[in-house]
Amino acid sequence: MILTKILLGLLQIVFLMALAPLVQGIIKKIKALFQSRRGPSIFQSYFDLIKFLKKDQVVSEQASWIFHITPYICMISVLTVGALVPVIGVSVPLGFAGDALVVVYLFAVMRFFMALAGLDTGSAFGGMASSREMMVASLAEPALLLSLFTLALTAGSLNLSGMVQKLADLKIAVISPSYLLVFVAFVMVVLAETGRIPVDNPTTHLELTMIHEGMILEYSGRYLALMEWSAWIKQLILFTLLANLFAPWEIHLLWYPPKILVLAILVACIESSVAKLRLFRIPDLLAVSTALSILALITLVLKGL
Amino acid sequence: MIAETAEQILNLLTTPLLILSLMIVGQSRIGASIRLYTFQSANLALLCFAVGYFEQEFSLYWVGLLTLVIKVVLIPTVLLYIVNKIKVAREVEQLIGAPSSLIISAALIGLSYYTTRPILEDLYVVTKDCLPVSIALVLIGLFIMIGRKKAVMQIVGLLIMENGIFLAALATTLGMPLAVELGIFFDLLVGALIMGILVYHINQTFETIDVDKLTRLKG
Amino acid sequence: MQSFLLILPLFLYLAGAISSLWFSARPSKSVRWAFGCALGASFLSFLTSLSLLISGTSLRVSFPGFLPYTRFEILADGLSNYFIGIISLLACATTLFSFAYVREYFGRKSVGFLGFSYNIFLLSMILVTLANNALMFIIFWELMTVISYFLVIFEDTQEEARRAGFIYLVMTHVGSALILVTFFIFFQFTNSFDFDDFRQTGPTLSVILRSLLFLLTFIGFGTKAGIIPLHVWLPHAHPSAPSNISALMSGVMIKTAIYAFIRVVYSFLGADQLWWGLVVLMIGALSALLGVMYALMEHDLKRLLAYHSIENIGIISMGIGMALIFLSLKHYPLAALATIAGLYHVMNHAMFKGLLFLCSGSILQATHTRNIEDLGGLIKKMPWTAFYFLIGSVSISALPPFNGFVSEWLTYQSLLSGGMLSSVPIKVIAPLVGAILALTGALAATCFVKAFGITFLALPRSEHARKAQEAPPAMKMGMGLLALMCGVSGVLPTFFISLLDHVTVSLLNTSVSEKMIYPAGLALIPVESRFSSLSTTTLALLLLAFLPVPWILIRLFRPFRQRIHETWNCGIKLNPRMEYTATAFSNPIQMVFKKLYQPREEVRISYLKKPYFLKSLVYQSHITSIFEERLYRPIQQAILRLSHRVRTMQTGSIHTYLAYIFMTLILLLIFAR
Repeated sequence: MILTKILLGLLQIVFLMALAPLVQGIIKKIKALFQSRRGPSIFQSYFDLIKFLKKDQVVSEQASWIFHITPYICMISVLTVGALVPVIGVSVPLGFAGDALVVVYLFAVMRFFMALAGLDTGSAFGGMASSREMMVASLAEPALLLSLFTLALTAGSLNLSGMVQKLADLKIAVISPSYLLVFVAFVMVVLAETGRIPVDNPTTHLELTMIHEGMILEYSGRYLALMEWSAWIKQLILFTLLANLFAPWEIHLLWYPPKILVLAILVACIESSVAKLRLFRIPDLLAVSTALSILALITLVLKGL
Repeated sequence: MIAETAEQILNLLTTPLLILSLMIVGQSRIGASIRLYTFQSANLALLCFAVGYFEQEFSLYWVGLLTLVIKVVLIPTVLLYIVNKIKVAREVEQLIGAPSSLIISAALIGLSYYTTRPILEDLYVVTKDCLPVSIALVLIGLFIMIGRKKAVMQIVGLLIMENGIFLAALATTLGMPLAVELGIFFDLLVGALIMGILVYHINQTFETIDVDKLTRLKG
Repeated sequence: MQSFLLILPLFLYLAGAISSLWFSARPSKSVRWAFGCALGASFLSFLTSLSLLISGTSLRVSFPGFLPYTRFEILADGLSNYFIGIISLLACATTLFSFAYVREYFGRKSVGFLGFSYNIFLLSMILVTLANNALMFIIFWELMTVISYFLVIFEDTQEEARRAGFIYLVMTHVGSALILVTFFIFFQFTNSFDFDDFRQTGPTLSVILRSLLFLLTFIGFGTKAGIIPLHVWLPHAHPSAPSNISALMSGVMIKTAIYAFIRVVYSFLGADQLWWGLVVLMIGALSALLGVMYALMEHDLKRLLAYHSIENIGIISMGIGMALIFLSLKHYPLAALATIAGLYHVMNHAMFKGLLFLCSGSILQATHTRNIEDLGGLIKKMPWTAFYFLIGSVSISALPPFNGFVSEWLTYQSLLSGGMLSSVPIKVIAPLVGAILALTGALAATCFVKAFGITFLALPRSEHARKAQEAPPAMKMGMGLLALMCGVSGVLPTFFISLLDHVTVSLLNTSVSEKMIYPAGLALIPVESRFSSLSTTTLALLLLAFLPVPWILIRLFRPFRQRIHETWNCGIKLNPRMEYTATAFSNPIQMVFKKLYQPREEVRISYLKKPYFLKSLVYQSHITSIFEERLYRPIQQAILRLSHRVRTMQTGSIHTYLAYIFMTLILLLIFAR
């Protein structure tokens, strides 16, 4: 019994790992369509990964062991998150190990080490990107947690599966002003966390504006594969959270792909229709997100659901 | 009958204490002040003997004797010696003039009678009338310390205060145990000696014993 | 037997102190004696307190009084034992570290005196937590303050250290004065200085009086704990002391204030006012946030750590504040949860902050600089120190599965439990404070990316950093012990929670360990509700279990191969001047929170040929410390003005002084009549 549960949990992780590059490919494809390009195949990300995994890698002579452990840490922490999040079923076998806070803080582990790796090689690009990433993340964190808190108080549970279950039980009654406010706040935070326009440009590879790309600039070959892959899994997990928390109906394998597809289209639309913000305008965006979460909390307390 | 007589005699003996301290307040020469202090101490010793006689306390004779030796002989001798040695102006140099000093002292005596009255009502010793006098002596002694410029007069003021405290002990508990008394006397003697030496050195260093001039020392 | 084991370490500390002074002419012998005794004593008292805590017993030992009103009595109950355990454990590590670290001072300073103060400092801290009498408490409290003052000014050749010592002394004595007032007010009503009497009489006092006492206690102990705005001494004093002492000061000394605050407010005042908890919670949130904000702008490694102590005291206060709120609403299990959150963070902070200060000591010894802008690349020269510092950084940034995360998680849980109460203000405030905690945590992570990254990674930025050497074994052992503790208390929280349960039993008469540890000691849940759960043990196992995945992926297609090459730097050879600096790293944050920092920036450029060829560029940026400039400067000026007025009273004339005495005497005579 316990064994099947654990196996199910592992299956979920494999599922996330397998699907993550596809979602990235789909977003790229949709963006290409917006730009009237044919764009690469939606499976291109898989080919990239295989290519990276086959390549030898070049490591900076300044790199210390921090540089070497970071890809491992990114991968294992994102996989652990994958074990805690309800994906295609409400119950998660290992869900008792951590709640929404753990998810947020495991992403923080990833970020912490990525930022260190950015500093490790001594290049100014890495340092600049690390510094900016940490700034953006610091400001995104209160908004993210506050919106999760509001949901948790609505649902009476901070454990993700419990939260999803309660929200699903509420059926249509769940749609309340506070819920909608949280949704908008959450989307903004997800854009920041996944390094999307208007916060960061994922397609840039050598600009002074790059954040995520800057931190992993020195990575190549297999480490790069791990870093990219874990970033994609993180993105998929955040989408999954969005899907399951804000459309908590019909949580099973059949309805999961359409939900994620809708989100991918949404993100691609936002990326294509909005310009990237100047670095010091990003705090304004995140402040709006935080303000919306606070508003959501207050409406929740004053008006109930 | 005897108790009343005793009280009367003691009353008679305490009055000169006040008068003498008032005279010190009014006195304008250092030497004379010290001599007046000598008389006051002698008066105190006499009072001591009287109390000892009336209350059959033999230890008080010893105390009286010690008072005579130390306060009447030793301390005045030391002080006079220093005054002669320093050879500065013998005038007391008052900050507050003699007439107003006397008025203030009188007020202080009044105050001490006023404040001690509630205590006196509960006090049943033969010497109880000495208590207001003793407080008055303490206050006047302190007042002398404030109102006089020369360091030697500060010593005199302190000695008068000590006489007051001695009298207070005598008035309330018929004197402290002899051991304590001995300690106090010794303290006083050494204190007077040290202060004397200090005054001498102040004079050596600053060529004055006018404590007003010492304000330069403050930070 | 147990009471003997409780007392024995105290005498060992004394022995260490005296022998250290005795041998002060021979430094290495003095060190052996001083720290040998201290090690034995702290190990022994750690074991004793642990065994007392596990068995849940409290010990009471009385000695005949030698001062009026003072029954010399020590009481080791749950709370005391817990704090003694933390103090002793940290002391074990710092003592190990000190064996090698104090060699730094041979020939320069009196090591004998250092050993003496070290032992007395530990002794006084332990006695503060044991004292069961207000006068005794005050005596040891003052002893602790004074001896730590001497340790702060130990390197008194530095102007900075003397100034730090002065600020420290002034601030803590203001605090001590308030504590004294508190105890005297108690004395008025109990006619005794015994804590037992305080316990009985305290809760029966009127609400207004108790509120006054609460404020006095909060400000008095808050000064020592370093809550904002009473923190100004802390960033000056902690960095000036030798690093082993900084570790103790930051790790446990400021916690004794938390101990005393809990003792007074929980037991003597019978916490039943909602606003007390709110005040503590709000001030805690403010301290946490501003502490980390100022830490971010700091480039002096030890000052940075000192500011983080303010932050963590804030987090602890959040837990305690929520506990007071729950207590006033009579939710005892939740109060126990919040208390456990605060107290667990007390321990965790002691471990990781102690570790970080010891690491900074190791860096200081190797490079002779505390300015991280001059460091860099140390990870290659000092791999162990770097590793330990990383553990400390990860713990303090509250990253799972390390200990900082567990206690912050518990704090979040108590805040969210507040969000589910019926009181509307608390419902809004508690989750908002949770958001502040989130911001604090994220900023702390940023700060430690900076601290670790700039100090240890990339190329060395100065000659000092280039010549650094790894710390000697004793120092590594001290740091290793704490790093181990950071991991253990992170991964096995259930053991520590069950220990803490004895504390809440002695404090609140509420046992929650069965409600918190579920199922089968694997996961923590916030008391009754199945609101959420956490199992760092499972998380750690999961993380380890996934480790083969990337390992296999990397070797999936071909054997692992890599080439070493220089860092890509737009075709120019990399040199240390091109690296990102700490100033640059924290600049975005400074820009975002401009309103708070009010930076004054100055750029001086001189050109070879305008506008493209620079000869030199000087950039200076200072932040305004609002509390020092807006709060303390005016107070200071007001006091100075007042003092100038009062100075006219201070004539230097003996007659005036005598007149003051005279007036006082006369007034007393009249009033006392």
